[in-house]
Amino acid sequence: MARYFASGSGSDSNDGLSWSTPKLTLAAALALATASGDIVAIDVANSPGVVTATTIWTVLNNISIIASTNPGSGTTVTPAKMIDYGTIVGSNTNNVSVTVNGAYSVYLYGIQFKNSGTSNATFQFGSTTLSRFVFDTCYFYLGTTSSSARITFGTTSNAVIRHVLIDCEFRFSHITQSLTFNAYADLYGCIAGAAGTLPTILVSGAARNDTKWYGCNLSGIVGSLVGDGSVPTSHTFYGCTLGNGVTPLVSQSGDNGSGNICQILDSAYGDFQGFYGYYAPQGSVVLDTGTLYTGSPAGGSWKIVTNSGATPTNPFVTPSLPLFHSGVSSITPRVECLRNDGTASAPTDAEVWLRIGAKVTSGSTMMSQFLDAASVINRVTSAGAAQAAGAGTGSWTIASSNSPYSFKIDSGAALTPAETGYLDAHICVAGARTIFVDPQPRVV
Amino acid sequence: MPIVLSNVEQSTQDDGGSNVTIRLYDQDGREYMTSFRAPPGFDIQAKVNIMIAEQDEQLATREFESLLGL
Repeated sequence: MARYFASGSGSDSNDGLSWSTPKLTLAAALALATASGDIVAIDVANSPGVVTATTIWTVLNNISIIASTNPGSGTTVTPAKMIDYGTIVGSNTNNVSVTVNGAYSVYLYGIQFKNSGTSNATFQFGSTTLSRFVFDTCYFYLGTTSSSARITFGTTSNAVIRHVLIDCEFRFSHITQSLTFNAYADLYGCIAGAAGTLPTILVSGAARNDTKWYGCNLSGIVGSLVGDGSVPTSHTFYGCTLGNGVTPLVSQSGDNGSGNICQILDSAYGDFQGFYGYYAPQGSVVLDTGTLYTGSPAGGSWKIVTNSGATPTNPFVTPSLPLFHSGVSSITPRVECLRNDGTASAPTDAEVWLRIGAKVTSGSTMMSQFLDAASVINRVTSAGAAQAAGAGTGSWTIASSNSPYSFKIDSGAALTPAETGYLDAHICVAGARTIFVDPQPRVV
Repeated sequence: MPIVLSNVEQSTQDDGGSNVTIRLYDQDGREYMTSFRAPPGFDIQAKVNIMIAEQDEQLATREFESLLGL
């Protein structure tokens, strides 16, 4: 485990073994780091990473690249942030593309990646299969004003890549610039849109991946978080600050369910706690605190909104509504629903139904599936029978009445759990409609 | 294929904000639906206007690319 040093005041003829004899260029220092665990320390005040043309830095093993203060001698590495020193890796004047690659576990601390100019120049990180880059306290500054420039993580969907970004910040210089994740990524405490030009869409053009955002400040993004999916992706935001009126997911070309998915978990603009949102190509589910089953322990309803991409044979299906149940006697689980769209009648069982899983076979963990959907032929022909009346509109608190109608959906038949455990309910909806459901399945 | 019809659905929340769904339709009747949460005092109509303009632009781009066989 060796340490190598690079500084803008060094020389590539130096041995790079101390701050007294640093390499001049990042490339020369990286070329020395061939053993797992090696450290490349770069001078935070005099960057060795300034280039004038598109550059690819290739990492040769599991190493760390750390921006450090330079004491002038010795081998002490003291991590520091380039953004605090106004230094960069890339160019302050040229529209250079910057690539850092390698099929390894790479840790980067304190690096500011930046370019400039007006032509398309992209940042590309960790694009080799089996690469696992951890970016800690890095700053990604797309300085070119090109509308096509992107900050890209990973490459094709076939690559085995999963990156981590911790306390990183993203800055853009054109409204159509964005982040592109062609790799799985977990982001903790990151910031986007705090400075520079605000992108209309934060994440776009990605390829089959899953990103998770924890405790990130995205308050500057007021357009959309996730764009249209040319290939499907899934993005989840946990405990983040969001922009004022931001759209989580734009309308998807794949509105038959094949497009992107976005989940919002306890994330919102301002002090609005506990919000939940699930946004999919065929529809969305959000926590609604204005219209709810009165006294519901959930403190709100699930407002389900669907579009015409949801059909009786390919419906919008909500995430799970779990219910812990300890009894082993016969039950008919149900979910109370409200229609409030100007038509005071029940939807049919080809339009809204319940699918619920329950462990009815002893000695097995497998949930059997029960549903009250119309028959296959009725769903194929969009026929069906009206769902049963619910507890009544008097059981609901309704923010703004528009011929409301209370109905219920259930398991379709009585079932007898064989084990204590969770019932797993999903509401299925076909056609363009809006309904409210009590997110508390009931068994009595 | 520009957007020729828009429909805005709002449900008021206990903090005075709204859950908003915007349904846009092009001249072929295809629906483009998005939902978002609007905090209290948010100018929903301004956002709707922006979304219509953006959807129009996307549709024009797709139509152009389709004509070119891209």
